[in-house]
This record gives sequence, structure tokens and C-alpha cells, in this order.
Amino acid sequence: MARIELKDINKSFGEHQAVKGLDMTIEDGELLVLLGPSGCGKSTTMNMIAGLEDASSGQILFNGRDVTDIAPFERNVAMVFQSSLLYPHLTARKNIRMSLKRTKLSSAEIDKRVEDAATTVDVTHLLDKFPAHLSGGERQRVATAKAIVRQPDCFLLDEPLSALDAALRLSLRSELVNLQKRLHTTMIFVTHDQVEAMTMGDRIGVMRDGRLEQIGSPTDIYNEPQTLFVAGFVGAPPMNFFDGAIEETATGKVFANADMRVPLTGSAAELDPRARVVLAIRPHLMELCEEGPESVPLKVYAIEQLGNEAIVVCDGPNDNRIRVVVAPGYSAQIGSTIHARFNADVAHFFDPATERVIPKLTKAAA
Amino acid sequence: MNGSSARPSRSSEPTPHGAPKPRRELSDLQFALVVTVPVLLFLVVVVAYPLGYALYMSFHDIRFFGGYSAEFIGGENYAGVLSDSAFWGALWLTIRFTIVTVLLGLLIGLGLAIVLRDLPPGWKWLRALIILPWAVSPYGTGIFFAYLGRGQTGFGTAFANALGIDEAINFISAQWVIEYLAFGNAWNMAPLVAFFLLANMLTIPKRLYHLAALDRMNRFEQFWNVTLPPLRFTLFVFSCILTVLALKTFDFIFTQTQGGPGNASSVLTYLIYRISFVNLNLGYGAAMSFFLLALILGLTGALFFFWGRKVSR
Ligand SMILES: Nc1ncnc2c1ncn2[C@@H]1O[C@H](COP(=O)(O)OP(=O)(O)OP(=O)(O)O)[C@@H](O)[C@H]1O
Ligand SMILES: [Mg+2]
Repeated sequence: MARIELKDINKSFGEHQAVKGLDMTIEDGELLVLLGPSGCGKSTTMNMIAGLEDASSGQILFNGRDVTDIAPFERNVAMVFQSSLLYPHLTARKNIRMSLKRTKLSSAEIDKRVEDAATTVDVTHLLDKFPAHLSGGERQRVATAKAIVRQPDCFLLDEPLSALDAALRLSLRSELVNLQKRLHTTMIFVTHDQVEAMTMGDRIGVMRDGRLEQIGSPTDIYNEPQTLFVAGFVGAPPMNFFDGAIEETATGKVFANADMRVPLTGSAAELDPRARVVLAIRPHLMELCEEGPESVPLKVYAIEQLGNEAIVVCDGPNDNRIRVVVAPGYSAQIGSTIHARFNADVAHFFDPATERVIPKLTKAAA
Repeated sequence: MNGSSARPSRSSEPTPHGAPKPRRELSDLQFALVVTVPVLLFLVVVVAYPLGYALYMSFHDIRFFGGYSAEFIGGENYAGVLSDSAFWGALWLTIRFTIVTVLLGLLIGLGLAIVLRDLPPGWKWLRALIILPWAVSPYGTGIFFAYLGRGQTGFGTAFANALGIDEAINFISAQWVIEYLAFGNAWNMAPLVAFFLLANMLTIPKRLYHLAALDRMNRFEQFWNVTLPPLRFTLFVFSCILTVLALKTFDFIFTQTQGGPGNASSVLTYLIYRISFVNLNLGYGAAMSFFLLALILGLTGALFFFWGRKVSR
């Protein structure tokens, strides 16, 4: 059990700076999901928390104790590497047992723990195989068993479910969350899976280019993205963006560009006029409609049928992709023009210069 | 283990759709034969002939005095060897020499490899330099170690003096000469062992050491569980090589001690040399050399049986 604080962590590999001024606190017993594009420094951050890589500068605290220069040996963390690392010359069972080498448990107790961990991730039938004879997903599960067989202060799981099929992934996801909550152990979990991030995390940290873009509860991240990047990265299908301006007219404020003029209602009405603004709206919050001043013309590019809904992927006004969620079974000619509208009240507005959100006054006041 | 039986030979595959028969490719076995037959023929000529001649001699009593004569005497030479106390003494020395050579050769090699692996950046060129001992001929090594080992000139005495002990320490004494010779022999071979081990070590992913760190292994456990496993096959191969080389060492001992002091370093090869070429008892020497051959085959066979089968892939 540990509260982990990262203070202004930097990490350079030669010229390349992989992590830049990272400040982050992971509360005791919290499950933090790290999300971010490939190469943004997630694994590097995990390695530094485990003590496998030294930070170039900055401090790492476990329960207030500075562990920056302390060997992984003394940090008591368990980790699943992204490459599902195992000792190649040992069977799965011995690999898992290796994690308990330093414990004072009796041999029978160790056997039981290994058996339990293997059952949790469903690899009991694989225990006597060598890593080279396991499939990628099997190796990943054995590596996960090797981590959860211990009761460390912190679990660091680097994409432990990425190679699994959907059903297995779903069941292991809940197993891991259950285990984490039962033992009340701090856990950091890296994933590229949006659903995994939203459903598992107490909080989500979104990283980009070695920096922490935003950290908060899944609902906050989803509903109140603080930057353009977070807005575009979190959520599937991704947000739609429209460039335009906020103009003051006789009938009230509007979001306007060459194609549309959308009246700003509700909280959006509090925004100050400005020449350049990016409006972001979730595909679920758009609807198809007849042509009109408030609607945006879109050219159908593809239609993705998801079973319970369909996504119309369109070419928008500025050659960017716009997605609209519609009823399942929807069909339209590829290349034909359709129209869609949305309610500005539920849209987000960003300053294109700073890429940060423009706060709506009512929310700030509330 | 052996994949060749499972893999169909390419030349026997049917050609698809009756297409014109492509140029036949050699199967693995055919290719192996093409490459090795000339070598095998050469070996038959240069090895089989002398071997056969030695076998012939070992069943004869060959005399040079009073004109050359070869008299067939059956297994008498072999029986003579078995009841010869000089043979049993030499056999024991040979085995002692071999065991110490192999153990020291592997240990020094392993130690060197670890040192070479962990060289700080900027010192990696030492990796090239360390091969030098291997480049010295056994003859040269013999002379070199003869100087180092003797009481008057050796490092034992120098070391004792440095510690304030006024005594000459002679390694080339009846008691320690075999171990000292084995040490020199190991020194000669260790760089080669180290190079192969180093090559193996450099293929071990660094991440595995991270895993060991997270499993909270100490240095020794880390060595045992991460560094050593991939080296096992190389260690086995070099055990065999060092065993064979040690069993048939001659020049090194000839230049350094001439089998002495007394008979203290008269190993089998040296004894055979004396019998055959000094005493000119060729038939008896040939018979004894077949015991040496049996020893070589027996020891390497045992190594493979007890160890090699486990580590060969
Ligand atoms: N040992 C290293 N030497 C040099 N550069 C490195 C090293 N390790 C990582 N990097 C670089 O640091 C950056 C961050 O790498 P990291 O592995 O942390 O990414 P990541 O967020 O885990 O990506 P992914 O989602 O693809 O796993 C990358 O640009 C990578 O090329
Ligand atoms: Mg990674």
C-alpha cells in the first residue's frame, strides 16, 4: 500500500526527452489508468516508478519517503512489462514462484498462492509450459499471474491485456479491478483501450509527449476535457471539431463559420465573442437533419455498422473527418451530401492558440 | 530436438499444377554431403592411415636393433600397459591435469567475460586486447610460465618477499607442478572461452535483469537465474574442447618441465613420447596411445551423456 508522488520528473535518453516535468500523485489504494499515444512516455514513467530507470531529475516519493535513489529491490512493486517478460529457461509455474522467492512463506503456502494467481488469470493448464511454447496472450496472462501472486505496495501493469481476445479481456478486467479493490493496493495501469480506461480507472491520467495533459475521474476526462488533445484522444468515436468564431448578433451570440451559424444557448451563451475558436462536439450529440442555417453540410465517406448503432463518417467543411452516430441500419450513398446539427449547449470550446478549453462562465461560477 | 526429420525435404515436394519442373534444389542432407565429402576424404587419408598403422604396430613387437623387424605378438602390448605402474601413474596425472585445466579454464573464462561485459564506456577496446594470451603458442606459454613458476625467477617468491617472507616459493615442485601446469594451460585457453561467453552474454535482454530486480534477487541469484542459463550450452561445448585439448597436451609440458621434476608431470602423452621416440619401443607406445584415445572418447562421451543431453537444444 503506497501513496506515490512524482515531483517534476524528467527523463532524457541522450538528446530525446521522453518525460518532461511530470507532476502526479497516485493516492493510496487508487487505480490510476495511464492513457496516451504510443511513445508518449508511459512505459518510461512506469520504469522510473519501479526504479528500473533513474529519473534525469525530479523526485519520487512512496508514502512521503524519497525513493528516487533506492533500488527496485527495496521498493516492493510488482510489474507486468509491456513485453510480458518471463525467464525463458523456467516453466510458467517456476516463473510465477520466482516472485515469492523473497517471502518467508512456506512451500505449501507458496504453491497455494501460485495456484490462486493462475486461476485468477486462467492459466492453470499452462503452468508446466516454457514461455517459448506459450502464445502471446498466454504469456501475458502468466506474466500477470507472476505480478499478482505477490502482495506488493504497488502494481504496475503495462498493457497486460493487450493481446487477449475480447471476452477474456472483459473477464480479466473485472478480475484485476476486484483484486485491486479487495487488497486495496495502489495500481497503475497502462492501456490503449478506451473502454478499459473508462471502466477500470478511479482516475485517468492522459499523457502526451512526455507531459501530463490532464488527470481526473473518467467522467471528468470524458465530459470536461481541458485541452484539445484530451478532447480528441479520449472517447470512441472521437470528438468532432469545427473551426469558427463567436459572434454577437441582434438575436444573441452565435458560433459561425462559412457553413453554419449555430445559436449559442444555455451555458454557451455566456462565452465572450472571439475571432477564432474551436468547437468540439461528441458524435453522439449530433443528429441528422434537413438543410438549414444551423446545420453543417457533410459528404458521406463511410458508414460503420456497430450493431446497436451506426457511425456515419463524413468529410467535413475543412477536410477533417466528422462522425455522426445514427440509428443502426442507416444507409446513404457514399459521396452524397447530408446535413447534421447539434446543440451548442453541450459543445466544448477551445482556444486554438493555447489549445486549452475556454471556460464557460456559468460553470466557473457554479 | 532435431528438426530435420519433421521438415520435408524440399526436392521431394510435388510441383504444383503440373508447372514445368523447377530446378531441383538440394535437400539439407545433400547439401551437407556436398560440403563435407571432400573434407571427409581428406581426413580418411591423413587420419585413417596413421591410425591404421598405429593399430598395426600396437599388435607387433617392433625392433630397430639388429635391423628392423616387426613380430606379431597379439595383445601382449596391451596387457603390458595394464600392468605397467608408470602407465597408471601417468593416467592419474593426466586426469588431474585435465580436471584442473577444465575447471580453471571455464572459471577464468567466465570471470573474464563478466569483467569484459561490465567494462565502462571508453574501455571497451580492452575486449580486443584480452584475446592476446590465446594468440601465444603453447610453446611460448610454456617458456613464459616456466620462468614465472621457478623458485629463482617466479612470482611466488616475489610475492612471498613482498609479504616479508624470506623464502623461495617454487611452483614447479613435485607436489604442485600438475596444478601449476594446468593453470598455465587454462590461462592460454581462457580468453577464447571468455569471448564465446561474452558473445552469449551480450544477447541476454537487459529487461531480464529488470525482472530479476523486481523479483528482488541478490547478485548471486541474478547471476544464477539470468546470466548463467543461456551460457550452459557454450560451457558444455568448452568443457568438451578443454577436456580433449588437456588430455592431448604435449608441447606445453615438453617445453616447461620435460615431465619433471622426477616423473611428477609425466602425463600420458609425455610417457608415450618417451616410450615411442626416446626408447623406440613403438609397438608398446602405440598400444598405450590407444588407451589415451579410449580415455578421450570415454570422457567426452560421459560429458555428453550426463550434461550435454540436458543443455543441447
Ligand atoms: N532506452 C531507451 N533509449 C532511447 N530512447 C528510449 C528508450 N526507451 C524509450 N525511449 C523513447 O522514449 C519515448 C517514450 O517511450 P515509452 O516506451 O515510455 O513510450 P510508451 O508511452 O510506453 O509507448 P507505447 O504506448 O508504444 O508503449 C519514445 O519516444 C521512445 O523512443
Ligand atoms: Mg509502453
